[in-house]
Amino acid sequence: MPKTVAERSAVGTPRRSAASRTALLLISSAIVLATTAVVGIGLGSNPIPPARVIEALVAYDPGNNDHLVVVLSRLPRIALGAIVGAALGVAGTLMQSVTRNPLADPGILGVNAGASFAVVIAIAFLGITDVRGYIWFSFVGAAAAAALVYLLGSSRGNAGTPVRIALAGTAVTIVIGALTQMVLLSNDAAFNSFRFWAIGSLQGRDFGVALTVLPFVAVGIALSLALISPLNAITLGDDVATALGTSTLGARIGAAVAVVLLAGAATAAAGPIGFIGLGAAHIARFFTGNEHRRLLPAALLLGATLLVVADTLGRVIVAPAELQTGVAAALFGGPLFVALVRSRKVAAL
Amino acid sequence: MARRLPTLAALAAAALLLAGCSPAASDSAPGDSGPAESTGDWPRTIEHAAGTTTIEEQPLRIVSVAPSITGGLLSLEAPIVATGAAPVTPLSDENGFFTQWADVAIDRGVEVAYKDLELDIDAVDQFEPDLIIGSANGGDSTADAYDQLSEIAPTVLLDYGDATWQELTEQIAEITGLESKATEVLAEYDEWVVGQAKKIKLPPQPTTALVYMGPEGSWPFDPASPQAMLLSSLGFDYQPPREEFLTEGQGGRVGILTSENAPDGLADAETIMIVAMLGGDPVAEFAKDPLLKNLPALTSDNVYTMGAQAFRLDYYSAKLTVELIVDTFSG
Repeated sequence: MPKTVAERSAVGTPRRSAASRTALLLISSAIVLATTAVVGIGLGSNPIPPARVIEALVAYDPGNNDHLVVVLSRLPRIALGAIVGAALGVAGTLMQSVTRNPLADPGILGVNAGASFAVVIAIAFLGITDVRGYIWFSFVGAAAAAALVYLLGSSRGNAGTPVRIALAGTAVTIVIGALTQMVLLSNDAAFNSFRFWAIGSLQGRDFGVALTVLPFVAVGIALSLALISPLNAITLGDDVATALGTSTLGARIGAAVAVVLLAGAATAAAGPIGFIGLGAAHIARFFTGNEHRRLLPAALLLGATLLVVADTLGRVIVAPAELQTGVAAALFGGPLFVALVRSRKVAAL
Repeated sequence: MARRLPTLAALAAAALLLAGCSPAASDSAPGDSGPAESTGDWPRTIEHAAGTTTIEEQPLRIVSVAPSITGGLLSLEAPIVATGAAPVTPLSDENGFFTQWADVAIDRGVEVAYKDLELDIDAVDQFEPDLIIGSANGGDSTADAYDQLSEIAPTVLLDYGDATWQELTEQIAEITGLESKATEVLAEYDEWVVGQAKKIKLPPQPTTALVYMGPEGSWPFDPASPQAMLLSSLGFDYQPPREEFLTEGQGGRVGILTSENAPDGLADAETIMIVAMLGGDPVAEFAKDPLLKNLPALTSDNVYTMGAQAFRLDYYSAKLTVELIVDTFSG
């Protein structure tokens, strides 16, 4: 089997170092995720003693309130957090790679806003209030917004530069956000259904929600993994990639489908959650470099870890109140974003 | 994040409105002027939440820039020509009038000054008011526009977040010179409630009242809230949630139990009354919550709705709420 472009291009670079750093990242991230998951099952706005938590897991009694909280609230919340975080991490990485734009992320490029708007339409005008019902709207909204941003960002010729795409994404996000607010303000019943979802939350979602979005996320991830070679080629620039026989258009379409599946499913399940896609992709890239064979699994695991950690912190630090997941992600993601902006690594794409 | 701020702001506004709804106390406390003065003594100087205002003559054309106060004006048969309207919600009719007084307002020809709580100074001016009444807090606050409103007509802003609806009624009476009407209205209400309480066969006690917010948990009312006081006036034994599970809400009269804390926080309540702030069937929604299924009030089937109108209590909504409760528990 011939070597991939990236493998060939990587000759002379410290591959072992990147591989070992990737392994280090994957192992430490998995440990943090597992630890947080265990801690997250034990901690929350309601202080349940550790012995009772274990009892809930090994001898579940539906007549016990603490058992209900552990099994019906905390477990599905962590599972969904991991799924949504993984989806956002991979989606963010794909968008950055395909657009070669270090600022790309489903939140910044308008994809979450598009998905949100479509869900608002579903709630306000069609009376749909269930994730299973509005996931399809979420996909359509995500796809439409992504297409719109791409068209606006590359309207004159094919100059879809990172800055133009980011500007287009910001503009589309603002406009769609305003439309969303307009629909909500004129329809208070929808506003009330939408409000909690819109802030981004993993609370009140049962295992059914996780199972609903899991197949879409799985297909999105599988598609991403199938695109590893072309993504590596695109990293070298479109001209080089084309010269090497890569169909850049085909790769971009495939990546777009994957992003819509991943971001659409994540947004339908938990509302628009920012920073996770951006942060996971950048931290992963910092450790793994631009080789997607390492980058994508790292971003997947990091996304899951970041979201589960943010959500758990949000539940614990203000107990007996709770920070909503989207707020917690933004709160902890904000400083990360500043650190990224200050880092020279951001421009390394 | 920025685009989510309006959402958070709206949530905060809703919470403030909830916290600020006017309470139902049985101990009405007349002001210094007393009811005997009736319509005499003009001009009069009113101290209020935004300052001091002198009203030269008894007002004949009042514009309310706070829908939360409009009900109080209507209950005194004050000469109100127009009101600002709230967004259309389960709590309001198609004009944005709160359902509890919408019919009375329409009967008296009260016009919509502006919609969706978006204060329109020019529209207020066009009604040529000789008095403007608004609120200094809550979702319909016009405190920022006090100076502009004062240029149109004498303007009084009330703090309805910290007063029972009876106290608010007395304040409005003093401003409009309708003291004797207020005395009459409040006495009639008190007497009526005593009669209604006798018709009720109480469910198992104690009782907790709350707004159910789904994944956001429950917002239980404080014993000093108008909703709790209304229940107490009907003979209910009001029980606040267990303190250690409760978080302070935005206002002093409603707290927050997170979804995780609601099962323990509400474990003492034998009966739960739900204010249908979000419309729909709050009892069914509450019963569907898997975390709450062991609550004594649910297992014994003693969860009831207080209706949507109980969200914001004034003379009209207090009566409707009492009627609903009597209807639920009589016989």
